[in-house]
Amino acid sequence: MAKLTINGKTVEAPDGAPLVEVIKQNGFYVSNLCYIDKLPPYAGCRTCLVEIEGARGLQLSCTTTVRDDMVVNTVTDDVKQARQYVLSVIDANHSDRCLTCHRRVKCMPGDICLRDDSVTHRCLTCSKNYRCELQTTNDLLDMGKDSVEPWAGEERTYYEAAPPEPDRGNPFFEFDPQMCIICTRCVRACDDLRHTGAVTLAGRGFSTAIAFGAGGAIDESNCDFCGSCIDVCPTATLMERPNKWLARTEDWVSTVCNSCSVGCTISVGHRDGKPVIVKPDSLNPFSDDQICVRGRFHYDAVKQSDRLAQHLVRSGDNLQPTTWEEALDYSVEQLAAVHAAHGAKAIAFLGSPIATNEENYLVQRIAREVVGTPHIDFSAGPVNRAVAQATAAAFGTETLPGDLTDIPERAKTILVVADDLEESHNVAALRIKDAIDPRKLPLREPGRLIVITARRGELCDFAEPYGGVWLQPTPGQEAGVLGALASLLADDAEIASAASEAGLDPAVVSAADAGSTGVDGAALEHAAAILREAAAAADEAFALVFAPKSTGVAGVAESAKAAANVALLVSGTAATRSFFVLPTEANVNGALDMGVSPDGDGKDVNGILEAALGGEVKALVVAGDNPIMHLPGRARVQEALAKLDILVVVDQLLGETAQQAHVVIADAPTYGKDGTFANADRRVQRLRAAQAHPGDAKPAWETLSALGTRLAASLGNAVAFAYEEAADVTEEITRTVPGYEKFQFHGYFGWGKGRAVDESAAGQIALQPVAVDAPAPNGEGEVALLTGRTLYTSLEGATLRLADADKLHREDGVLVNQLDAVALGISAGDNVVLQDGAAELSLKATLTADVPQGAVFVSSYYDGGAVGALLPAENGSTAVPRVKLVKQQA
Amino acid sequence: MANEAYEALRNQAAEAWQQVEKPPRTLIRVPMATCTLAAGADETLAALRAAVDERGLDADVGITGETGLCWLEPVVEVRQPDGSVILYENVTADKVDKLLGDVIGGGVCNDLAFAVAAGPDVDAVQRLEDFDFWAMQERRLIARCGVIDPENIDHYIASGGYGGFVNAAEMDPEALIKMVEESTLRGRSGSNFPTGTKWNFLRGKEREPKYLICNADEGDPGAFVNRIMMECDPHAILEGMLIAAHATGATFGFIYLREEYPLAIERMERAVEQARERGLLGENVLGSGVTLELTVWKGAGSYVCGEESGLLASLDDARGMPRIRPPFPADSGVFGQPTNVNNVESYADVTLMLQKGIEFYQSVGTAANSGTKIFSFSGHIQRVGVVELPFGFALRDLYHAIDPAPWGERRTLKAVQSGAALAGILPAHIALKLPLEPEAFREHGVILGGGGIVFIDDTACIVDLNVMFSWFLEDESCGRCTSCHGGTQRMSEIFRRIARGEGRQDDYGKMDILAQTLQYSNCVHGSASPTIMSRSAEFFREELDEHINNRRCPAQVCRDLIRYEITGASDALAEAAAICPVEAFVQEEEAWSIDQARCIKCNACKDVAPDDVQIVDIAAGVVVPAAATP
Repeated sequence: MAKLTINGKTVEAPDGAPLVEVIKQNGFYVSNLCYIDKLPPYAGCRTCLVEIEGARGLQLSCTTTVRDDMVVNTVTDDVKQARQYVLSVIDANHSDRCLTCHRRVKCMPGDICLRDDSVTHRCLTCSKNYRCELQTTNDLLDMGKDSVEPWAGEERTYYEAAPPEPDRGNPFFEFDPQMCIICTRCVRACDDLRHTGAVTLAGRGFSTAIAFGAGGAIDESNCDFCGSCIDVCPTATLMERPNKWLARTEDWVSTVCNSCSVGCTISVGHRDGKPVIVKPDSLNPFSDDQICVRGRFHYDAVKQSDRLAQHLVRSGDNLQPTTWEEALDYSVEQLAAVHAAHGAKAIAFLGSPIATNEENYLVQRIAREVVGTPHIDFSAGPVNRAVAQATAAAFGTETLPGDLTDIPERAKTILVVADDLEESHNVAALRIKDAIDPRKLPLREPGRLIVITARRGELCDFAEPYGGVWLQPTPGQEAGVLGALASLLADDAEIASAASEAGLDPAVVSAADAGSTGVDGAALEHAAAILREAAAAADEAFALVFAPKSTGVAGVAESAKAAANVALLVSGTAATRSFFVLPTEANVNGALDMGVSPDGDGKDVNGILEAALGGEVKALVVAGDNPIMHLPGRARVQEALAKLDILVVVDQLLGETAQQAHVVIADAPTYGKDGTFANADRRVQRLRAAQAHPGDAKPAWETLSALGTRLAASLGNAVAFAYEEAADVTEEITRTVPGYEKFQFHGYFGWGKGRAVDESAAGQIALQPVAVDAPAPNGEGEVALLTGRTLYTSLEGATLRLADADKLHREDGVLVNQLDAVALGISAGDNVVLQDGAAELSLKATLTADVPQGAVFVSSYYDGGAVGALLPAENGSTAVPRVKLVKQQA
Repeated sequence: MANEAYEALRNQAAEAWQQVEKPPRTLIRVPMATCTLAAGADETLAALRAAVDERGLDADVGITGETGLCWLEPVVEVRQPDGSVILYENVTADKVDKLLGDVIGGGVCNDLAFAVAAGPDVDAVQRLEDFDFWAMQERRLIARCGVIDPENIDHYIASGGYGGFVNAAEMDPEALIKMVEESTLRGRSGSNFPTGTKWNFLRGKEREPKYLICNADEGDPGAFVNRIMMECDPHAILEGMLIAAHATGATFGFIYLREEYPLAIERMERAVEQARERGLLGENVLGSGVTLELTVWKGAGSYVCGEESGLLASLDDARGMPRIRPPFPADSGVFGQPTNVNNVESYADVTLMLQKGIEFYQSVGTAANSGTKIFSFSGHIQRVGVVELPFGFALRDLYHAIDPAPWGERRTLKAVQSGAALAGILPAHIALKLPLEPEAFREHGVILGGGGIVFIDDTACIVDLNVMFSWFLEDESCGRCTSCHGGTQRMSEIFRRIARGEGRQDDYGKMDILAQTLQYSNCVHGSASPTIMSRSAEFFREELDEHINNRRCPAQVCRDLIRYEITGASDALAEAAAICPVEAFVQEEEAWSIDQARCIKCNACKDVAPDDVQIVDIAAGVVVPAAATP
């Protein structure tokens, strides 16, 4: 630590820390318009000048590092004047007349500028008014008070030159270069924080400008609209397009994004009961200062008027509005009738991976304590439970203590088993890139990446160029590749002996070969060599990131076992901290922890639907789930639901499952709820309400609590649901759910920091045999059908099957391999038909090299999960589904 | 061991040089360099070759580099078997027949002869060493320029080339660096950082590989010092880099050249290739244990890529922007590895020092700056060229040598600009008193720079010069520092405004603001860019005031302040009318006049009809009061 003096105050800071950060952290003001905390200085704005005793002239505080006994002064007249002069040069190319006007605060919207008739663009007419860093900087440097505007009227200053054209051509960003002061924060955010490099500095001298891609429209560049550049822009140059003019918020609320299991914490700014802007909130140290396009913009995916504002009850073919009381009473009456006629096991319950822990907890409580049925699950349950079971069998627990922040901070070797993590778990992919290509301070040793995926994702570009390798198996052969890798590792004498010492039996994984996986032997050997090095360097962190596919339970189970085997061989007992599972949806882990899983002879979701078809299950209560959208074998799901005597759905949107319901009870929007989520590494984080409830909608915990109470009364069951607020449910969870004891809802800052995991996990580690079917060749005219979560399509938009669920329209089609397309005579933009027996899906073809030959890819959320119609119901096979690909005749 | 290998190379080379030194028959050599090509040397060479071939003449034709006598180019050298060497001036292709007619068989072409470089005296032809321009020089670094064939490595070796490296390899690297430090050799690009100290930084780094960069991105307007070295004696630079490799432990090197120097690129690439063939580059050069791989790298021609960290960024395939320091190149240069960057001339200096010994090297110059410096000069002078002078040489003597006699209507020298855009400008009466030494120039707030000197007489306008230079500075600003890219914009606007006659007295205050602001820029491009503005305001205040207060351009250059009027009636006016690109000449009843709305003030008519066209101040006689400060 260094001891230094800033404006007479003695402060302590780490040796070598950037002076500008130390000044700011100690509560002093220093103007800086280009610095981004934790990144190397760019030193472009030159306004962070300070006086340092003993140094010649003024110094930039961003490039100066802290030394012991440094004496810094930030407030001398020289400093102020120098900063003012530099700022005046910046202002000259901005609409500076307001910035340097002492009357600005008195101006009202619509007022004419009395000062200068050439002033047409003013702070008052700027969307960033009162939240503009440049404006604040001008105020704090007294630019208006001292009338520092030496360049007014010069030839090419803001008011004298024609402004460049703004780019308003995409749904997310607006880019208005006339506001730009060329601080290049956006360039560096895109390069150094996001590893994307979509924004560049172009031109020289007077023509220096920010450009996206090669200088064209933003949506033609490789920008993926994470908005990191918006967060750092000090002016109105880069702004969110939705609610651009409304985003002066009433208040900010810290909550959690519900788009994937990374669980990025976000701050939602709201106004008039509606969220209008989202910024990252660093509570979750893994997501830290970053979110993705979903987190930032999907709050706006559906209009408030598209949400359920009324409770509905079926009357013939129609759903008619009703009151909450009546909807509840009708549901209770019907459920009690089924209970009376067919017993408790004729009633089943579905929770949801998008619902809060509290809601899921109540669902299973009603099922178990009130009704007494073992049939409890959620649509994503079977897949994620298969992974949890494989994890538990391998490591002795499914609540592994590994902390995701270890990946960017420590991991030297990273193995990713996932289909395009960039799209499914964007920020997790980002943090892996951080480990491979570190740009943040303090710099760490870069790691190496092995990716196993049949489909190319952006993460693949971070493998080979950085010394790693991308293994591209034939679709469905991921487990085979992992098996072959495990076998190669087990052949290594040191690894085998270490494994034996740790109580593992290497014979379990030996003798697998890569013959039929489609992976090149040399690449596999390269990967094995990297893993052997990782195994030999016991002090270096290894990370295996496993993200299951959303369908195909049997295949996922084998992949999970095979992945766990590799982790165990590389890290031995330490593998409990290096194996990371990224579940398919935001609160899968919470739902599993709350016990939304079948008991004993209980049926999982597939079993429940099977039983509904067979007439054994007569009633179903669905809280937040949408099995028609999420499950394969769509027609069968619809048929099963149609056979039910009573289907009660509690949901925010009238999705397809709700449309088939007998009773629909309106739930509050996710961002309008209180509660908790558990993310991928079981960080338990709080949701806080930032959005008004539309119409009669009530948060689901209230509905479920009332349903439980009334149903108990009706069934003559003495169970009490005495909650006054969501927090009461949480409090009960902390008392009853294992792992959640450490949380207290009120007054505890541990939310977001604590994790519901078994920190002491150790002990029962084991290698598991993996069974993989050899890949079957495609039949005549057939292609393998791949699906998965994609980046832009919003869950809510998809639930309502909105045409704009993917506002960029990048994902509303089928990806066809270019070579296949040539063979079939398909051009980009052609309509093609995917056929599986009677089921057909017609969509637009996008040609790409990202999917392997002989395969096509459709987003699992496309058109409300339409691809589910082509997927076979879960049948225990690890084979990849095949469909016929036909060009549609005009 | 090293010496044996080198002796073998030398013996081989001596034979090749013998063919030039003692030619069996008449040897005619044409200088091939950018400057001579501009004068038509390629045509001369082709004509010579064609004539010799077709007529079966008893002569050989070869090439050399240029001598620095740019105003006489093409300077053709004729060597006879008797050892006489005579230089002929301005031998363009049309004079080839005449030259050949006289020199084949040993004669002299008196009409074209310029000087006798060796051999017996010739009547009415001066000896080269008596020629004042030549006599004042201390030709050491450019001693081989115009003498050897730059495309022939043997010529270089025969003249002692690579002997400097052999000498260096026998020295301990520490001792070698100490010698360079004590030689007072400082960076020749204009920054004057001690070369030995730089080498010491790199030597102290343990991370490998280490890199050596030769900064050949000579971009200053009016500077062609490095160009002549690279085009006419490329191996001297390679040898300097080899010596530096031995001293610092670097094993890879780049020669960073600009695309605008195509011939230099070609020569350097050829030199690297030849050196590699002879085992003078690569692993374990001449058995000395020194390893150096060199690559010639073509930059994309951004001015700031001549700044060392900008150059490194460009080599890294990043945007050509000077970097933030620290880290310094010795810690993190190209590809993040320890790196040393030196100028072309600095490497050549090291070669000289090692070939001829430190005593010889220090035998000229001053106490603070021993040795010599190459200068290129241009502007309003008669003899444009390149010379090598010892440090401390009087600028006045140089000026008299390159602008020796009144030529017609003499105008007076007004200003001298050394070191180009960033260095500033001095009035002639101060500049001509100065010795050519960095310290002397620094005392007056300007920089001696990399060797380019521009002489400016009173036909040039200081405001006009500033318009040009501030535009150049603005256009070449990389865009990092707002102080620089914003400040230079404002600077060029102020001067454009003054040139339009819209200057205001408070512009001096604005210039002060800019001078203060620009000094807080990251690299020297920003921090030094106000120099020329400030020196102009300091030394040429009257001329600026004349523009600002009276809307007059005393040099009659600023187009918005002058107009062209016809004052005569000679026949030349018809020609002037014909040459006018905008047809501004109007004839009414035989009398010519100029349509002022059309005239673009290009001066073409005045060139044709100087006596009939006059330049008139638009505001002549009208005194405009200083604009009120807003």
